[in-house]
Amino acid sequence: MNELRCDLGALSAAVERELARLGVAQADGRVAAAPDARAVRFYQGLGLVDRPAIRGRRAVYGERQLRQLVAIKLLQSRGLALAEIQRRLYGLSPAELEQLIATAPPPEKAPPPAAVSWSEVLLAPGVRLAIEAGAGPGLDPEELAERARAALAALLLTEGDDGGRSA
Amino acid sequence: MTGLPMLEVDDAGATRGLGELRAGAGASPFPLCAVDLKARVAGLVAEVELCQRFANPFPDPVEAVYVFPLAGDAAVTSFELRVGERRLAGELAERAEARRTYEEGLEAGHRAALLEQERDDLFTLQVGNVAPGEEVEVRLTTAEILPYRADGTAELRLPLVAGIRYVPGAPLDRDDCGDGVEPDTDEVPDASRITPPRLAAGLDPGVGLSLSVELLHGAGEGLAGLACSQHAICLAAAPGRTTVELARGGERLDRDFVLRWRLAGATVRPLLLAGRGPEGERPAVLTLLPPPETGHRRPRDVVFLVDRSGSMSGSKMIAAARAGAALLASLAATDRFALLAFDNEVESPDTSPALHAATPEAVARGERFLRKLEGRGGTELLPALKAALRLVPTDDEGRDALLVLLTDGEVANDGAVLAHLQRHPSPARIFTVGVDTAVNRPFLERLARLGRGSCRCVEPGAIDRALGELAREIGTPLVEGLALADGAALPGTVAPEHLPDLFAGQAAHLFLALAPEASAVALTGRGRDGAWALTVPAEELDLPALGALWARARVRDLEDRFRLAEGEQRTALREEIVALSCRHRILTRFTAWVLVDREEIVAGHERRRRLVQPVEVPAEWEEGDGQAMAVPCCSYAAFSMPRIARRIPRMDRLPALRAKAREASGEAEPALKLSRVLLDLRRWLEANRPRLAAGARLPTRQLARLRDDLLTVLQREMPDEVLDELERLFEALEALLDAPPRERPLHAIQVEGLLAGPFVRLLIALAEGEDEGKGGTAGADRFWEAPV
Repeated sequence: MNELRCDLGALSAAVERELARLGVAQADGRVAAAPDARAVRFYQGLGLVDRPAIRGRRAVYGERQLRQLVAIKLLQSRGLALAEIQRRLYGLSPAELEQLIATAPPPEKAPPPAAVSWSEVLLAPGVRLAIEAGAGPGLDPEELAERARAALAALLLTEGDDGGRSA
Repeated sequence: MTGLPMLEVDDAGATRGLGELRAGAGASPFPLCAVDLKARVAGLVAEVELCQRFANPFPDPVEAVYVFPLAGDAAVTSFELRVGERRLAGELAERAEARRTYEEGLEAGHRAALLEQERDDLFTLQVGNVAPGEEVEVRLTTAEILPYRADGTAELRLPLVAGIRYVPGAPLDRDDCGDGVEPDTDEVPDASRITPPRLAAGLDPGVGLSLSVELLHGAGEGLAGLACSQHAICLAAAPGRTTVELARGGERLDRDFVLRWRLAGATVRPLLLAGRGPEGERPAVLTLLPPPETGHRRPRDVVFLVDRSGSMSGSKMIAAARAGAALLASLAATDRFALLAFDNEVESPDTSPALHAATPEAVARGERFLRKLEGRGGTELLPALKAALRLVPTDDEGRDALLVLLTDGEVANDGAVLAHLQRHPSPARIFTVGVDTAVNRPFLERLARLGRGSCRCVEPGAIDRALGELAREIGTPLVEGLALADGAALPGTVAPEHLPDLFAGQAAHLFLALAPEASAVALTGRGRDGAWALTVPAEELDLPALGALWARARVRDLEDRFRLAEGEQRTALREEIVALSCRHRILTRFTAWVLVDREEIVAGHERRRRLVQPVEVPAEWEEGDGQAMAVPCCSYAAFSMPRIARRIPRMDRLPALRAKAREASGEAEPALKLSRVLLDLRRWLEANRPRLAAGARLPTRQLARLRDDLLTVLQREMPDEVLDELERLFEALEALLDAPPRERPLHAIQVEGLLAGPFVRLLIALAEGEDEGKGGTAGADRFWEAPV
């Protein structure tokens, strides 16, 4: 890439192009694809983006700021808070910054809910026992159902005999 | 071959996984790892040793740049670098020369350090060629004379973070001269040197802070009213000595440490302390107290100028508005006033601002205006000050003209503001009221001194205590036209050279070199009822710092002159300052401390990285983008207690300690009524006791912090029933802390909710409940509805 020397608007557009090239522009709804002047100034205040050079009273941004903004946006798209981004980007050399952009971990997706299978056994009319496969008390579902039926029968019997008070 | 040993750097393992936390989770990538302050106060002179430790977590050598504050009056009297067992002493040199020495040392691969002064209270430290994995320590010592009030209250302020200064002007078409985040501008040509990057909200930089203050006093004399307005402290008392330390571990460097205490009655008098220098010179400090207020006050014309810029947002704005309202309420019917608020523009309750008679209606309107102010915009102080001064009548006989500026003073173009005032002296006296957790005090002091007024700084959390005094003290002096009788001071040695006036409530310090035979200093002046005269006998004191203090005061005068000087005069003044600096070994803006470790060459120094330490956003500052860093400011009263350093005493000893503390403090604390606050506290305890009794698995650090909070509360007077509950809670916490973390019973509890919520608020409320009893002014009371 040629040496970049541009104003803030062009920088912002360049960041957007680069993010699109890296495939992060639409990664996360929270990430504004193009940082506006206020955002750039804010990152500058945190030392995340270098001050622009001043040439004839105009701010001139370059490759360094472009790469810094790309890195910030990339990490933001991975769900990192600004504090964490500041910690990670602090003090990086240009080469390390490039390496970070190249090797940033893939977007953190919430792990897909593991497929859980339940088996249901009818104990009595209107009463079902749900057993999570592999997470039950370690008994064969049929055996468990058998015991539950016995327990239910005992419970109903007690209930009928003395109004809930067992000896 | 150089013959110098080369440091071998082990590169293995120095690489870290990019895109991952370096050096393990939670490790800080920032070079500054610890700050330690040790202050020793004898009478009104404080000597502080500041130690900053830097580490290098990177695989290459680094150069660390740290912009940090010191007390504005402080003279930096020594500079040292420690590498392992070796100590290297710094040298003072003319600034450009020192910078060159530093750069050359760095390029040659040596470790080097440079300390420069940017403002009265703002410094830049550079430590270069710190090898990977290495830790180095920078130590510097300072001396200062403490601000002092007529009731004997002394104040020690140890600033811990550089304020965020507003930078006006247009960027300059040249390379910036510093490493900060703002470009240099035509109005602030060194903006890039005084605007360090800030930490993002929620990032703990992992800087360990330790701080201790040793107060020396006569063996039989105690210290009364010792209070720390922004930190929880613990005390250790010994005969003739009281030691103050931070009560909590893990304090952030985000606000000034401010300690106030009252000296024993017998020592509250005019004083002339004289030292002896190596060549027989006699540097001395003269402390003057105002006479009691007598006579009637002349009618006043007061222009209030209130800073409502973005940096004032939140509690600072509320505090400033309350102070303004208290001052309005103190006006007499014969007074006139005008009220202005400024950010990028100047506003007033009137369409065209002018002086109005202080009728109840006008005052009420002013109060309403103040109450509605919200922080926004920039701090364009200079145009606002000009506008305010234009309202001051120039010819009104028989009336006193005053300008009262309420602000945090966080501007970067302080020099331009001062210069304007020097070029266009106003008939109005200028009073500055500084409101901030990390106020720009030296600037406000200089402004007030050049404006023949006085300066008072107040922390937003402690505003109520100061309101009554503010209203009493701002006004006409009790003594003016001070003059020293000939002969006592060597000619040209009195600093400040324009002697200050004496105002109610405030002491004034003068520095001078005593003539060889002089045994006293005689002064004359004009009091309210006629001539005023005073003779103060000299007391000899073995205090080497006096010479440095005198030189610092003298340099301040020369700096004021330099601001306006041109051509040859400018050169001559600069040379005089450099000469004073080198002779008395104090840092100035025209010199710098420098050192180069020529014994070693650090391998890989050509790959050196420059790291600028990001610093905290000051407490109570509210910034955009979720940057609000509001830290509650608690106003803790403190008691003298036997040493409680790290280990908090067991519960069973506390009642005895409290009794002892009451005895030692020598004065009964105002009894606290069982107010709403305490009822809240009980409610809170009831809600949380079951969880605490069940033994919540709280992180040790938070648990210890909660316990320390509680201990601070336990040191206060309060009804027994409340104490009993608090003590039970304290015991529960102690028991939890004694159990190893793994063995603490499991219990889900939201620690953040517990600590950040009700308890901290209660502590604040407790502190404020006490203030309420101490009264204020009528105007202040009406502001209680404000959502503080």
